[in-house]
Amino acid sequence: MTLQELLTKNRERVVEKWRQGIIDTYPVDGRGFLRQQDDRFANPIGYVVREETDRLFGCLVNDTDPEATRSSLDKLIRIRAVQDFLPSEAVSFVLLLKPIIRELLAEEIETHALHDELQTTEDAIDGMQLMALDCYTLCRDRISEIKVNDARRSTAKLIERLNARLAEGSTGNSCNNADKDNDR
Amino acid sequence: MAEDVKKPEELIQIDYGPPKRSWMDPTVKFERGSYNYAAVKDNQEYLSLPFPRKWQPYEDDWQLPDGWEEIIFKGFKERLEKYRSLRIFMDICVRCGACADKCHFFIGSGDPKNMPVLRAELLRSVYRNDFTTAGKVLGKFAGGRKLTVGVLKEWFYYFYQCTECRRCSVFCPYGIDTAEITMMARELMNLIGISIEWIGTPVANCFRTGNHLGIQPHGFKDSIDFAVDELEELTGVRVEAPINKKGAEILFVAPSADYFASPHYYTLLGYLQLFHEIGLDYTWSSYASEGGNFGLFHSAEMMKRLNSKIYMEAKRLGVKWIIGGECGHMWRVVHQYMDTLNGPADFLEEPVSPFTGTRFENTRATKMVHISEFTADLIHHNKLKLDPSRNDHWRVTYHDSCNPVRAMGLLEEPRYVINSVCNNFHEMPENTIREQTFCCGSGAGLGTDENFEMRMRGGLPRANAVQYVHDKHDVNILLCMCAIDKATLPPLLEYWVPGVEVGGVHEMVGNALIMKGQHDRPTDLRGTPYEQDGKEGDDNV
Repeated sequence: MTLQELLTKNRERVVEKWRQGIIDTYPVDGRGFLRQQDDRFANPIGYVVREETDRLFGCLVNDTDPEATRSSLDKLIRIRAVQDFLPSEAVSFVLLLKPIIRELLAEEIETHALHDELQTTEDAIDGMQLMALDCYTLCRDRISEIKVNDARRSTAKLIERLNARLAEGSTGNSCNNADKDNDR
Repeated sequence: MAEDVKKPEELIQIDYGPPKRSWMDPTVKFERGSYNYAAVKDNQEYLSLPFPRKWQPYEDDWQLPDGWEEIIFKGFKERLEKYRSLRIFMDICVRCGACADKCHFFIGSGDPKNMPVLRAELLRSVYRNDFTTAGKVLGKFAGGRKLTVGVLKEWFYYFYQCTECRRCSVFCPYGIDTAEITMMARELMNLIGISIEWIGTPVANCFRTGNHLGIQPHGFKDSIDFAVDELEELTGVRVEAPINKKGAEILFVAPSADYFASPHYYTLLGYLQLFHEIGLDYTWSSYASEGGNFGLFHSAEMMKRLNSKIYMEAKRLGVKWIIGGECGHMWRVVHQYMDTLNGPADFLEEPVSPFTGTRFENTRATKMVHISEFTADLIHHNKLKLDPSRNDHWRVTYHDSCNPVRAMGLLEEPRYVINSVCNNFHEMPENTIREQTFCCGSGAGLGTDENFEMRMRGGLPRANAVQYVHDKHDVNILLCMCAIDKATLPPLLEYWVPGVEVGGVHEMVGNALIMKGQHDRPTDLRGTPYEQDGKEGDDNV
């Protein structure tokens, strides 16, 4: 048996434990809701955790297109990047997979001597972790950009008007015109 | 014992979970992005508020006045005696949990103290301790908590993480209005000089010049004149926009952002077109130049002061009745508090549309009609010439702004208008619209730059529903009827659902409205050219 087959066979168990680990990064009294509310609109965090952990695990096992991995990571991290987490806390859920796999599948890994393959998988998890860091950084960069755009938008028309006034003043060939405008 | 020694793998295991603590122990960390700055001393002084001072929430010492606990106790007692509803809300909750998972801040953060029931418990626990026999005798065992600096800081943190949207109240079997609990908590904090900048400054500005940016009358006139000029360029029609016109039939009051911010401005253009086209005898006011009542987020007294400006101006100008624009909390104040605060408005007439004869009986007390009621009535009576294909470049969804929908039940009118002026309208999922609409996450004074991360959390449920219709129907604009929505949904969507714009209902009306004497109108109100076949280029969307 290969590790890929073993992981595929145990996909549900591993992913469930992983989800549990991610939900456990939230305060105790909120976890029940995040875990149990199935409606994707009533519980977007729980929904994204449920859907994207499964997708990510699929990407890991089947060595899928990195774009799919990035897309799933982005959905998870976009949420965590604005929540009460340190940067390390926001992205380190990826690393949770390592002990979960080792712990849940310890016996089979031993039996089938899958240590080398495990090492390869763990390297892939490390790669995923680095990708998560990229996603986090992009989210934070995006926030900075949005704040700048937001500040511009809040006075957009005032500035446009002011510029129009200045333009009127400069084409009027007369300082008096500008003065008159300013007095209005 | 050898078997008790942990293996190296176990030793390096990190507990990623937050520490387990009882909710009774106040623990607030003022992390950047999740709180608002304190109210500015000058504005507190301008409004004659108690204990003005320079302080910030992240500082250890809030420079609380001597005897602050006693001030709050007395303030609490006074309000319990004054507002029967407050005492009922304090006593009646059975902690059934129906509201617990309905708050957008809880849904978007997972922080249990944002469950409305638990947020209310922050105040209720002090109530039990100070005002109930069981609480006085049994203290913590009866759910009572002494008011400490830690508890006060928690009040500040969480009651300024409530947008007073009242979604939770929809689900409460006892009808507890959680927004009013937040309002009372904020009033109590005001008594010791604790408020936030984005309430204090707009309130002071509104009080001083009539609008929240502090734009003076000549600046206001300039803004409206600019819009008239621009509208002429866009449509070829020169509209009238009277200001402070005595004896006009109707006073029109809009949120001030409509005349200086984007995308609000396009809604302003829509109003101007509409009023011109039907020949409405109306006036703007440079004194009542703000519909938005930031006093609602501060205290009943402040809400009254700001609301009274609209009615005083209606009296001064001698109008018959009032139309209000696409504003949010203005409508909660008008619909639920105005009559008690500043009523009766018996110097005004019961609103009757001069074009259709429709009597707006629902506004008999306040004499103030929502513009979407007015426009829906015009459309229903075929008083407008509309070409909805002029909005075909927009694939539209509609966000029910919290206050018009939950505070005044404005469900069908905006939908009727949208369906009349747009061909591509797609509703978001049922449990995210109408009475169950999700808040933008930035109302009630929380729409600040420093509170950005918290706003993104609070807005997640709304954005998530927008994402759904964006993916499913390629929706590219989210319409709404609130100035705070128009200011705060664009950054929210930029973060969560890039590619979806934000606009107002009357922007769509303006696009679709065929005006007498108009030129070809090769662009929409945003100035984006239509394609030759009547549709617009992709560069707009």
